[in-house]
Amino acid sequence: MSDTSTERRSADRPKATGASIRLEHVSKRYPAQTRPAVGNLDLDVPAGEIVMLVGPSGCGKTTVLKMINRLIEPTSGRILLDGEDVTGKDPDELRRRIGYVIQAGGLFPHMTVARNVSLVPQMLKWPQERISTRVDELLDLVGLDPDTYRDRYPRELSGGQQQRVGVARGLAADPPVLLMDEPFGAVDPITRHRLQDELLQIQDELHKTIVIVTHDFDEALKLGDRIVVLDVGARVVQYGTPEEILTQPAEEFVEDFIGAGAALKQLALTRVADLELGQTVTARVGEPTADVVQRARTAGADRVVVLDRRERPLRWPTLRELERSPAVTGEVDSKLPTVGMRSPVNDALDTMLVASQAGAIVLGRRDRYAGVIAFETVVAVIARTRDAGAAS
Amino acid sequence: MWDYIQTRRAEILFLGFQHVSLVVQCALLATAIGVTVAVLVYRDGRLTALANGLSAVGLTIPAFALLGLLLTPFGFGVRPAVVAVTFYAALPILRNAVVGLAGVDASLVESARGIGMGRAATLLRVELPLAWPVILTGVRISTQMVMGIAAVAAYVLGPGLGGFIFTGLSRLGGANALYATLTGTIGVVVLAVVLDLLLVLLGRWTIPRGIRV
Repeated sequence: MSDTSTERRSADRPKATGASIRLEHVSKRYPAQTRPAVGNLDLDVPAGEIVMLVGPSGCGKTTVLKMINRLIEPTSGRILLDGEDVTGKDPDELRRRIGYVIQAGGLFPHMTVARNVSLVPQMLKWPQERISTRVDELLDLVGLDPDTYRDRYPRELSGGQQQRVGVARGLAADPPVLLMDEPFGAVDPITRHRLQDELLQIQDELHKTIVIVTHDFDEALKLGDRIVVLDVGARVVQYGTPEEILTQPAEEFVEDFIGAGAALKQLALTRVADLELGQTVTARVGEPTADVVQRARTAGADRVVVLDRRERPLRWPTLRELERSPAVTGEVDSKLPTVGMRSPVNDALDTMLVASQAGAIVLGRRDRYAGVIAFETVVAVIARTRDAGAAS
Repeated sequence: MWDYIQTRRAEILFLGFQHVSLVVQCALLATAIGVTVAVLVYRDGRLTALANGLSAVGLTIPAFALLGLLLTPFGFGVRPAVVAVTFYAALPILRNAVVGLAGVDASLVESARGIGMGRAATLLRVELPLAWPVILTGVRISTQMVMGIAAVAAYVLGPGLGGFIFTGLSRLGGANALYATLTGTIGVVVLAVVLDLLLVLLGRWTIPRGIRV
């Protein structure tokens, strides 16, 4: 059932703005060590895809990532960006063309959010006006209101917000390639899911080439168009789509890495967007409650989704809760169960269980309301997946 | 004592001004020297240890002895005073600058390099600003310390309030001798407090809100 989803995803995809990355016979040896940290690695990253480097700690995945922007210089081999050999280029100039995001964002604490984001455009000598516009645009893209956050300092932000600013900084000069080193490792699981969803939304708009290092296999399944499973010495054990890796693990090593419950892991291959979304009645802040209730009754809905000016859901009250005030109020439910279009189905299930709700609101681009997904729909998918797993 | 001060007001003010002026100029010079040396050594473990060792040993040299030794090459007057005061002032600044620079989170330096900042830009825009609060603490320690050392510089006929102290001590028991010594000493203490307050204000100005404690 799920082997169609990747094809569909890539078929839907407009032309990539990303650049392809190619590593040819790349090695990294450190003087004091007998075994190379990375030995003769060949890797092709197609333009516009998210490729996950995953493997046990010490396998050299971070070294591979840092060799792409030459934070670590390869001992031998070539690195090509869109067919151009960048192994001999000025490393600083190269890095301004490659976004780089590390855990917790790596923001400079003595600079405001706007200053942090504007660093690369400044180095590229963009005119000041263009930089300010760009900063606001990017903060908006990562879901932070520019007027509220522009002049804040990193320590005045939550971990998730810092990470968002880190992504904005990485994308500031519109680089074709984005490298991310364990980007969501330092935040709590719920925030991590949100950030992953947002990254997928952003990628849906931008189509960059993104390489992400992670030790979390579920994260790799969720985010990756392709996954590179690495063993010690950055030996490529398997390179394939999430489907391929789950259904045809190349070696025992990969099976071990996937862990038990591969059948249920296949749930991660079905995306919310692949399921039938329900539609429900929506209401705007400020609308007279009576109108909304009438609309809901006609449609047979017992709850409505309240949206803000930019179509982002704020809360999901029952009609009874709504009727407490004459007009729809705009308070925010911080525990609102939301899930991204490109989220795997198991995330949707998680979200519902955490919020103890029998459904979740689905978000499209820029966190806009896209529909709702019912608990029953998810359960049906689980049943089907398990049957398919048992049959195979 | 009050009469003593009243009759010598102009002289006290002038020497006080000279004292502060000597300390401030030497502290500026020492900051430049201390930070430069720190930048040169902080990446290398052995050089850092050497710098820290030298600053520790340097501070144990008695000021009186150093000033005496400086007489041979520099003679009497302002020059040996400047050299000695700058020498002592540079040591705590060097030490703090090394600590401050080494304390900058390595992931931030890597982040700076990773987004395409060169070595110099990383140093000027990330490492030094982040180390600045620690460096400034070093500057404050130095200034306090060399206010006293500048007084000893009067021994080599350097400028400042030390003159009162030495005059007083050399004529102890004579008329106004105690007043002269007290005037010099209290003057130094008062000026040191004022200067420290100014440095605290400088910190308020120059340390961004994002890293203020």
